[in-house]
Amino acid sequence: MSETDPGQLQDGIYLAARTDRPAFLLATIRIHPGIGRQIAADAIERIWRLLADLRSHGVLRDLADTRGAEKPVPAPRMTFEALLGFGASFFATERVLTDEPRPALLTSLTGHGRPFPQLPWTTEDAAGRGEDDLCLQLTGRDPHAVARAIVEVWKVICDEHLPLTITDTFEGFGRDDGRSWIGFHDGVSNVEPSMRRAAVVCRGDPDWNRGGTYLAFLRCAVDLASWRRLTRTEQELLVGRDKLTGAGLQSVEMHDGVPAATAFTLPNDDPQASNAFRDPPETGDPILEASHIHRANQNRASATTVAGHRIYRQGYEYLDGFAGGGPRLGLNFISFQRELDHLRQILCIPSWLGEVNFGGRSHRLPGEPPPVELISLAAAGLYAVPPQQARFPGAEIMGPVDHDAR
Amino acid sequence: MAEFRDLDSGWAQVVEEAVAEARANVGASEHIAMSVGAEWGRRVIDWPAVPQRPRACLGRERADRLADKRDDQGDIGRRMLQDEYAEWRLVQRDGRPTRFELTTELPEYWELLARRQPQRALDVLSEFAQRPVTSREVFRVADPGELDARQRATVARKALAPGRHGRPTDLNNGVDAITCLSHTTSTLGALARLVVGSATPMFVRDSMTARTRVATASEFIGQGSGFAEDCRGSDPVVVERIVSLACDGRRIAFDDPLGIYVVGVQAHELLTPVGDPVPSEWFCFSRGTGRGGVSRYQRLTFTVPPDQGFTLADLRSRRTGEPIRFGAQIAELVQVGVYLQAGPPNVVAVTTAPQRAKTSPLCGTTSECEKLRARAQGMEPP
Repeated sequence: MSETDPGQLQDGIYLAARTDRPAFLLATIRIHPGIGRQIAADAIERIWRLLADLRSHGVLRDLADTRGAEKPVPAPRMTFEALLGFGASFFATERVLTDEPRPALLTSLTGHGRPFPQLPWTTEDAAGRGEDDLCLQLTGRDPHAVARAIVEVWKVICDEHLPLTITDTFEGFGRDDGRSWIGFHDGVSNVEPSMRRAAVVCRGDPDWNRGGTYLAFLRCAVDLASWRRLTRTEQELLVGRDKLTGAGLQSVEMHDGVPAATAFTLPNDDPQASNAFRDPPETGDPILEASHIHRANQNRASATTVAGHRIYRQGYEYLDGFAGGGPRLGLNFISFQRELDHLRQILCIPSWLGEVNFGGRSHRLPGEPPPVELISLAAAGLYAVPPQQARFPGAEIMGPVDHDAR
Repeated sequence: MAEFRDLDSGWAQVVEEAVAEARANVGASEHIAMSVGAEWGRRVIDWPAVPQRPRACLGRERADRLADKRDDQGDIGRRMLQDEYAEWRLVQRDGRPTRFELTTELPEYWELLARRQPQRALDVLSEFAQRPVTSREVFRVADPGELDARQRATVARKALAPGRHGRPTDLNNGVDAITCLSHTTSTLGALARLVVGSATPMFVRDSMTARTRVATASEFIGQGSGFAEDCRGSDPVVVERIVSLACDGRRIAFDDPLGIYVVGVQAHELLTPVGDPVPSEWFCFSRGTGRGGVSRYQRLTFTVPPDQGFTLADLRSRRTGEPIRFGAQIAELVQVGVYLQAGPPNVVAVTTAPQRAKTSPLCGTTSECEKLRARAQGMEPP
């Protein structure tokens, strides 16, 4: 969207706070098979220009002047950001959309059972949802701002017969209380603001993504009914925080086989700025070190340390209606990372999240929380997110514009 | 195992000497303790076995290919590039990989073994090489008893891990076997200096929030430590964790027995020809124990059982979708690490005044990268 910063990260990655952008929509887009590279590039450019215009001074397509000398109806300005990503299938050699090889770790997550050892698909047909040639992440001030943007994209696809199809959309929202559906604070133990660029920005290999990043999308369905059957203490031991204050847990004592956890004390003055809240210290207690917040960051390292596997998370909750008497809800887990390997390591190393679905110990003692399978994948996909370019992000990999050849 | 039991006190002494030497070289931090107290707890610091710096400097595919490179004197790629306290060899038949072997054994342990149990050393080497190994191949005499203990240790070290002063024999250069770490920086002394030198609190002022926080590894190493190298998988994560523990005012000790261990493997990430994850049982852990749920194995072997009808070359990496061609594709699924003991916080007084931080250059842009690229050029043109 910001055409003045070529080579820089695209918009929609909020390395500073994003309290005014709680609306989220991710659309997956398929490029029609057999379409030549130039035509595909022109189509992508068309929707990218539409979004840029809509954002800066755009007129909604159906509210343009059609009778001459009318005043068109503009959409409100700067109410959303758009981000374009390229999926694994875009790089398939038979598609001939690019000469660039697929980045090594940009693979499809379907076809071989669970994509991660402890994250099953919610249903059989969940596998494949969330993946396609392209993704568009729209984030904005209000749900209707992002919805309006994707509908305008659909309109231009239809009106101008662009060889693109919006195959799916996933919506979500940022909560105003900083908590997730399981009731605990979420997104707190994120990378330090000064380290976020280091966690996110690619340094090359492939060279065309230098200055860009990779997006991981995991639509995590949460089994809230099962979660609510746990006691508050069991929940706290699985998460690693006090449920009400959000303070990290400091110690656990067993009394007649019943665990009792003690949390760090938060200061009265700005408690959420303290380390006990933002980045709870390691405790050495094996039960607490197996909790979710510690498993997700076992080495407690910074973003500049490779084996710390730090990623920048920017998630959005969702509610997808009710079915079978219960809500279908969860988290659109969105992470940005300079290498997709970091996400894979977090979710696959056994002592991290590779041996449990959410938290807890795989070999637990009586009294420790039971191994609830809280999360499953309702959709998932990985995308390369190239840096901004004059035409559109990623234009470089689709070859130069040669208008005469068309 | 009888071997480890009998050498336990000997190894403890070797470690103690290495720590004392490290303290003399890099400073005697009061955060380092030689014994463990009542409220202490074990910490594991782990990292992937695949070397990170070659990938950052050369690109993934080229680095992985060169890490397996062999010349007429053995696995040159391993000696040049495998520097994460883990080394492997990829056994191939007709150019197709059939077996992956990884070791984290420190060369100083093999000195001790040669010193105290020379016949055991020969027996283990025979297992690794899958053929009888003679005394002459290791000790240069017909009977190891012809040498005194110190001579045996010296000669064995020269044969297996001579460092800058030569190349290992076929028993550790990958031709017949790998036995122990041979990279010049993968030694007990280096590990001791790394841990002891990192046991120093360092706070900095965050450039964005102006809050005082613990220094990153890059900031700590950027001061010019000399005992740690940035951009690796191992050194920075060890540095950062230990600096953080020191900033908490904790005392730190090596877990006993000290070693680099194979902490875990991601079997799920390797797929059979029909797309199933390989069974974890195909990974064989040896040279250690798994007592108490703590992995203290120092050797990992991976091969496909002969009754499966396919070999390692027919497997795929789930991570990349590619067939297995390089040892690095398996090494990246192996976590290796070191165990430490940390005491309770606020025992050692710590000054929290922030220091000025000088960050190391970005990985991929350093002078080390230039040297690595030059070495790679010599190994193989781009």
